[in-house]
This record gives sequence, structure tokens and C-alpha cells, in this order.
Amino acid sequence: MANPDSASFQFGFDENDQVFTLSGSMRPKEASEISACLESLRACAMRATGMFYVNVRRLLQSNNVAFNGMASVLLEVCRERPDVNVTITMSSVVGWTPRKFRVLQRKIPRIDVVEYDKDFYPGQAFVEDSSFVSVLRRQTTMTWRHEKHILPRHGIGEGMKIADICCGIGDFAILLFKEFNPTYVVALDHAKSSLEYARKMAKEFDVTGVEYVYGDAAEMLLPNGEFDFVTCRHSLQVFDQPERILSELLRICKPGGRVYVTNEKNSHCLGEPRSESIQWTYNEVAKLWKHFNMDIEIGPKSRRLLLDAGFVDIRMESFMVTNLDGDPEEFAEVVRTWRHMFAESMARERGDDEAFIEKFKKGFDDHIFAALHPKGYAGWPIWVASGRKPL
Amino acid sequence: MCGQVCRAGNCMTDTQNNSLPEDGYDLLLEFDLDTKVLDDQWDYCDYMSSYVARMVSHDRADPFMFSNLLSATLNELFETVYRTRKEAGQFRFQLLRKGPIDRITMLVPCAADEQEFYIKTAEELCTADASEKYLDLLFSDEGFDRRVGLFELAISYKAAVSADAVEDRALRLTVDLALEPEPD
Repeated sequence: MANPDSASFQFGFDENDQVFTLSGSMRPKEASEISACLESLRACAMRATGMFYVNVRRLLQSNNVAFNGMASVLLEVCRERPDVNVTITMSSVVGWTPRKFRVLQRKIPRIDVVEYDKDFYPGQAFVEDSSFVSVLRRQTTMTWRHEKHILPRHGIGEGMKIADICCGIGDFAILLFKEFNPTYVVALDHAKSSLEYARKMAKEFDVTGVEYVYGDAAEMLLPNGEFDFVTCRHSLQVFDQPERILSELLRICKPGGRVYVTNEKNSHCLGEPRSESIQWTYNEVAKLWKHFNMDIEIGPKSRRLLLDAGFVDIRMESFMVTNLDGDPEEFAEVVRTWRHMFAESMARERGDDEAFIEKFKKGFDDHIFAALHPKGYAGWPIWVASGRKPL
Repeated sequence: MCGQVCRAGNCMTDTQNNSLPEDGYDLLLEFDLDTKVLDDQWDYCDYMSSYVARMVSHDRADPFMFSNLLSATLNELFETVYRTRKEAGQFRFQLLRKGPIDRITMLVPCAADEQEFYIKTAEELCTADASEKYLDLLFSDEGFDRRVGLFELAISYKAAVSADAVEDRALRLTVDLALEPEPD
């Protein structure tokens, strides 16, 4: 649906899902300036059946004139259509919306107001568990040994504007900042505990050039075409719709800039001795993630995903983090955390029985055994891919 | 009760002091604008609030979230000033900061009746029924009420809002905001 009111905001209606979407900035002087939008909202709501959704997740700003106009329409709908239930979906990332729409809910209790991104990807509860922080840090240390040599092959250079999306605890952004002297780094994540940790760490290391931002990678507030280089590591695998993230990465990347992603194929984790037990367990990890609608096998699919998203000049390679890269105890520590997260949290959540969980744990224990064995070898493979945004 | 401090009705006689930071506040940004220009340009409310918010948010813990909230609050203030019947002269805007508090001051040339209107509004923000009054204004079907912006700041953003008459020629609105949550 076209928006005749103003270029600063957009509205539209998805008949199929009965969702009326508002986005942009709505700050009219008079309600008459947004009359087409309000009339459309009224018309769509009045012909809805059952549940009618109003999506304001990307309504970045609104003033009281616009709010009053929307509220008047919704009040009228609630009055005249008692059979229709209204749900407003907002994003916790857009700070003003919870304050304003909770007030609307106080006025009209029949209107349900929900933050859509409270549980917006399947593994959020597992991945945003703050106890995971220490292993994230160790993982970055282990992968950085490889990635600092790989990144230049994928187009990173000095003096760039960089965005690190799904930055986790922010340590990779700091390493990028130190190694490649960017002009500016924005690091975005949806886990508040991780961002809190990231800010503390940046302060401790006196790094002032990284902005840590709370946000949803699938609907970022970052502007179009802003960044020379965009990174998104180990994250496509935790979303059930990675193409939505890639579309956003493409949007914020400058034409001619590059987007760099890393992902795993966990069933290819390996170790000697005790390879069979290790292999069995990591195959089960892949199935476990699939149960929660996540794809820990996504690594080799990165090329196709980048091409489908519209990138060109795809570069792809893989590397293996091993027990021989540094202290084998580091590797073992990471596997211990996986054991806890996968076998204790996720498998139990799936409802697996004790016999399965014991066998599942044994593969992790054997991987640790291989890592610490004086003649052993343990590996964790990672796929790197990058694509250029067309000019 | 909203809990904010009201200084409604206090008269400033030394207007020169208006541009000086006080109480340990650092002056981050100030500008003057001819009231005629502001009267002619509604869009300036949006432009100024977005620009100022982005300019002063970079060193907050979450610059984008902070900027979004600050822009929302500034816009309500600029729109309030826009809807004030102003006298000819210079509108002065200042943004000051002390730790987590951002202090916004706006000096608006206007006649005595407008001064009284906003001083009375600032007093209303401190009354026990301020929250209910805010809802009434926000959902009024009798047209837009220009007091709603100040009520919103006081109720939704827990801002301390005060209004002072500066001699008989201007109104000074002062708003203290703490937009970032306390760290856990």
C-alpha cells in the first residue's frame, strides 16, 4: 500500500496476517496530516476478524499528535468491534515505545501490548545466559589467532567504519579496533548482560572508539549503507531465519563494502583418540539444535546464503581451531561449557532421558580427553564467508 | 505525586546568568534561534531534536537507545515551545549534563499570560492527580492540548520540570532527565 502522507514514515497492511505496520518517524503538526494513515488503520481494523495486529517495531519516533490519532482509532475499534482483539507489537529496542504503549494499555485493557523480541529467536534463552560469558571470551581468543590473518583476505583494512552485529560480549570488536585502526566501530547485540560486560571491558582497556548498542539484528536501527565492513560471527546459526539477518547486514553495508560471517558445522568436530564417541555426540548436537529450530550445521551453507541475499564476489574458506593452537586446557574448557549447555540445559529441555544424556555427555568427555592427551588431537572447524554489496 | 521539584513562579532577575552552567553541570550544547524562524518551521522541532539527541548521546552507555529517548523528549519540548505564543526575540536552547542527569533549559520570549500558563502547568505536574490528568490529556477527544508534552516528561519520563518567569519578557523551562537505567 502506498503512503501518500509523508516520506518520513510508512504504513501498510498485510491482509494475510492482519498486521498493520507503521515505520519511520511520525511527528505531524496536525492529525489531518496523517489522515490517510489513520483512515487506513480504521478501515483495516474494522474489517478484521479475530486478532488484529498493529506493528510499531520500527516506528522510531512519534509525537503526541500522532499517538492521539492512533489511540482514537483504536478506542473506536474496541468500542465498535468487541469481537476483535487488538495486539500491538513493539520492540524493546525502540526506547520510547514501551513507555507510550503501556500507557495505552492502561487506558484500554483490552489492547494487548507485547515486546516481540523478548523471545525472538529460538535459542535466545540458552545463548543469552550470562554464565556463558567466560566461554565466549575463550572462544574469541582461540578463533582470533586465525581470524586476524583471515580478515584482510576478506577486505578489512585500516580507517574503516565497522559494524560487529551480534557482538556478544564485545571482545571481538575490541580486537578489531586494536588490530585494524578503524575510524569507528558499532557493536550490537540483544543480550543486555553481554553488553554490560562489553562496556566494562572496553572501559578497563581504555577503548573509547567502540559504541556498544542494544539492538535486534533482524531489525536494526542502524542507517542504510553506513559501514565499510560488517561482521556477524557464529550468529546466523542461532536464528531460525538467517536470511532476515543477512538482509539487514546487506542494508547497513556500504555499496562496495563487505559482509563477513563465520559459522560452524558442529558434526564435523573431531578428535583422536575416541573418535567414534566424539563423532556420535556432535551428530547429536546438530539434531538437538535442529529441534530448537537452529542450524549449527550452517557453516558450509554460507556461500549459498550470501548469494541468495544479493551479495557478489563471495570468498569462502574454513579453519580448524585445535588443541595444538595454544594451551590445550583452553580447548578443554570450551568443550566443558558445551557439555553443560548442550547436555544439561538443551537436552533436558528437549526431554531426553538419563541414558541418552549420559551417552551424550561421554562424547564431550572424550573430546576433552583427546584435547588433553599427550598424543591427542581435537578440532573445532569454522567456516568463514564474505560477500560484497553490489555498487 | 510525580516527585519532581517545582520552581514555578521564581523570578530570575540576572538574565545574563542564564547562559552559565550551574550546580556543577557541564554545558554540552547551546544555540539561539529567532522566534520568527521557529514559528514558521514546524519541521525544525523534529530536525533539532534528532540532531541534538545524536550529538550528545555518543558517550552514553547505549548511544542509540539514549538518543531515541532523548529525541522523543526533546521533540515534545520543542513542540511545546512551537505552540507557545512567542514574542519577537531569540529562543535560547541549552543542554547541560551532570553525571546521569541531562538538564535542558529553554528560554522563550513571551508575554506574561503565557508565562503564567506554563508556571501553572508546572505546578499541576506536582499534584496528586497528575497521572490521571496526563491520561485525560493524552486521550482527549477534544483536540490536542499543548500541556501534554510537559505532562509526558513528568509522568512517563520522571523528569523534574520547572517553569520560571524571567522578568516580564520570557519564560524559562528547565527539565532534568535521567534517561539511562541505573546499572544492575
